[in-house]
Amino acid sequence: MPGLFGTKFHKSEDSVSLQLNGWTKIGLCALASIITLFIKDVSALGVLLTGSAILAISQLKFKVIFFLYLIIAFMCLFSMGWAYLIAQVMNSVSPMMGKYDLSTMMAPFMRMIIVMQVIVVTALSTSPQEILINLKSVKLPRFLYLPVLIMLRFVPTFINDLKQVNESLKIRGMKISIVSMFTHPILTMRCSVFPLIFRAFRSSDDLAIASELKGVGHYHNVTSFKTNSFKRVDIGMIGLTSLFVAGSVYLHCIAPEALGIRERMMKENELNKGTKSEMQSQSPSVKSPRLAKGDEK
Amino acid sequence: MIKFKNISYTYPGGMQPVLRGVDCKIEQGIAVLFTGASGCGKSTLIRVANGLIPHFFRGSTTGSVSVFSKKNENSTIPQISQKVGTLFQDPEQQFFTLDVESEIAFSHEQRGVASKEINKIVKKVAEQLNITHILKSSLFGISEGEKQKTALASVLSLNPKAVLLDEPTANLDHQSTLQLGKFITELKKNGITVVIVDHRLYWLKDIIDKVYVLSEGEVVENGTFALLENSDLREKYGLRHADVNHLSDEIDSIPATESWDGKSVVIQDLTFGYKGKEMLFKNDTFHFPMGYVTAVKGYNGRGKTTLARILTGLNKVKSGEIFLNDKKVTAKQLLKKAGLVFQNSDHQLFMNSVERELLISGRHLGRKKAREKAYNLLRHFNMLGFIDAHPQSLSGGQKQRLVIACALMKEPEILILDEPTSGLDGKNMLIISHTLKQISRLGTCVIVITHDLELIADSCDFILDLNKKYKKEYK
Repeated sequence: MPGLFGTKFHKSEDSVSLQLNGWTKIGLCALASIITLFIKDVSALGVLLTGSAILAISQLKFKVIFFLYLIIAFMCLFSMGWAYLIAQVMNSVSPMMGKYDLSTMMAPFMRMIIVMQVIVVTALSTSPQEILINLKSVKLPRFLYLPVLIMLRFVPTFINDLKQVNESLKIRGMKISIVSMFTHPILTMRCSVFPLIFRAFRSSDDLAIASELKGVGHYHNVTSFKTNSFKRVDIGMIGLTSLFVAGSVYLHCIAPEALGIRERMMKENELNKGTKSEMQSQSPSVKSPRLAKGDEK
Repeated sequence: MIKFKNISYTYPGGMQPVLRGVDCKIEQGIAVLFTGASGCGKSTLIRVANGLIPHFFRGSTTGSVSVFSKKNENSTIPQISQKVGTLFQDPEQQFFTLDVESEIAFSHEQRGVASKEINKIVKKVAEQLNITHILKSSLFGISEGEKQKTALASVLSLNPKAVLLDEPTANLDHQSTLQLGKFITELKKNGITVVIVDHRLYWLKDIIDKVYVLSEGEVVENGTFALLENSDLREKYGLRHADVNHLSDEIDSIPATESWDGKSVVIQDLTFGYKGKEMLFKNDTFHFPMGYVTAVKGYNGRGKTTLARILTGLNKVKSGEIFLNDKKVTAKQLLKKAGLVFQNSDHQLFMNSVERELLISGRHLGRKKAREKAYNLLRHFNMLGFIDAHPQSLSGGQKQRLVIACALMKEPEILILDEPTSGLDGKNMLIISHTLKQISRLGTCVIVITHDLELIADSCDFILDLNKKYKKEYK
């Protein structure tokens, strides 16, 4: 029963990600996870986001990408919306407390999207055996490589579950949309998230049982039926990745100095600190936040 | 040899033991059948034999199980699975890779077999089970029957000393079921022990050496296959027919018809195929009468589920038209007018109680009428006692009945059920069968995708056999 995504997740059998060597893809995942830990600047993250988006969009079917972005958009809008509301409430109490900075809010989501795009492409294009062999070859302990393997294998199962839940909702006449998230938030949440949670529990159990019965991690000498050797396409991918990483590092470390942005930001920070301490010293006499705002002016 | 010595088992958090003092010895090279009503402990027995109990499912166990003279409690699961291969009722439960070929190869890769040798093994077993054409296919894109064959190929390719088959024919077409029977006879000749857990009995007559009937976790009867020919015994323990030859004869003798005057659902000049795959339908016309139950059968991967998806509006037709009572309908309209019950009920349950699950499907009826209808349906399906239960806490058979009840709350004009009786015992199969007849008599077009000959004989008025060039037959 070829479903919503057809029989494959990729645009074609010749997709670059299907030809890449396992190490290249694992390296991309590791690089994306590590570099996003250190880069905070939104524009620098934007460069990495663009790179990972190009990778995902060029490789995966439109529907897979659409569902991926829909999940991310839901999470972003939900948490940013709540953060904005909380900031507004707190701001009405004291302007010092509720400063809503969109760029600060955006950074964690940008990091998440970058990592997610790279991992999804890897998980949907690499055989579990190739991942297993590569991780075992670097003498990673079983308690580290097994969860990584199960996590990557879980991605296609989750996408398949998502598809089936969506179809079941359609048949039952329940429409899940951006609008329904606001008009019937509890029902929308229940219908879209709860079956997925139950399925996720079941799928993780199933994968664990399957791995036990097939002896994953039990044998020392494992072979690979089919692996992609290191080819030109890998060199090209490494080159492209290096370009995006270099651009991102430049924007994060060098560009702010060169353009005087960092200096300006530091001045702004000092100014903010000055205002805050001034307000704190006045705080006993401050009766209401509005009055405090007036004083600031 | 597999030896169960006075084994009892209770699942973690369970109040009652699922197995109670099971004691039996299965000799090398024979085929044994464990049968009984749904929930009698058959699948748990398989888990005990392959070591998942006690190594994966903890719970409380007394007694012991030995596989080829070694106690399971002293071996790891991979060690046991070297000797004993398991085929689960839901084949997806045992898949670890993404495509058919690598799934068969995976266990061999773990054991360090050279890739040339793996290639030979994969080709050989694929030919034996007739799945060579799907070797490159994604496991998410093949039919349920093809999934079952893939899982079986993966198990048999390892040349185990014993195989445990849990409902192996649940999704197989009639031809593949008979083929599996021959395959099991071959395995026995090669000295392999075969343990089968199944509700469908007809295909096992010439294969099985010993039968054990389970009831509430206990072995209540044992003997040869002749034991199952006793209709009183079958009725007492909720078993299915031991012989369906007379049923299939009856079906085969149905005269053919090419025209229908009454109300119907018609798919005209349908051409459909999935991208990169062979066309499933080419300018084909299908006709489903309203007020009757029509069975759709055909070999695994023939397009039965695709036809159901088209009729429900899930798949849009590029070439062809659909008419409901002579009125042309679009895919969007079909989504409102048709109900589809999938095989996997986990994805179809959303709410936190059985009552709410039904009420949400009957929103269009108004609260009072929806509640009344929900209670009637629950009474009909013997589920009134579970009205406040969480849908995900129900057993497989109960979930299946609840999903059908939810589809009925929608009051669809077309109701399609995909293998509604796979994994159901004789008693539950009859409940589903009677329900289908009742719904159809209210004017609904009921379509059942099934390989279950007993269900077809008991409830279906028409058969659409996709193998026979869509020739329609009726009683």
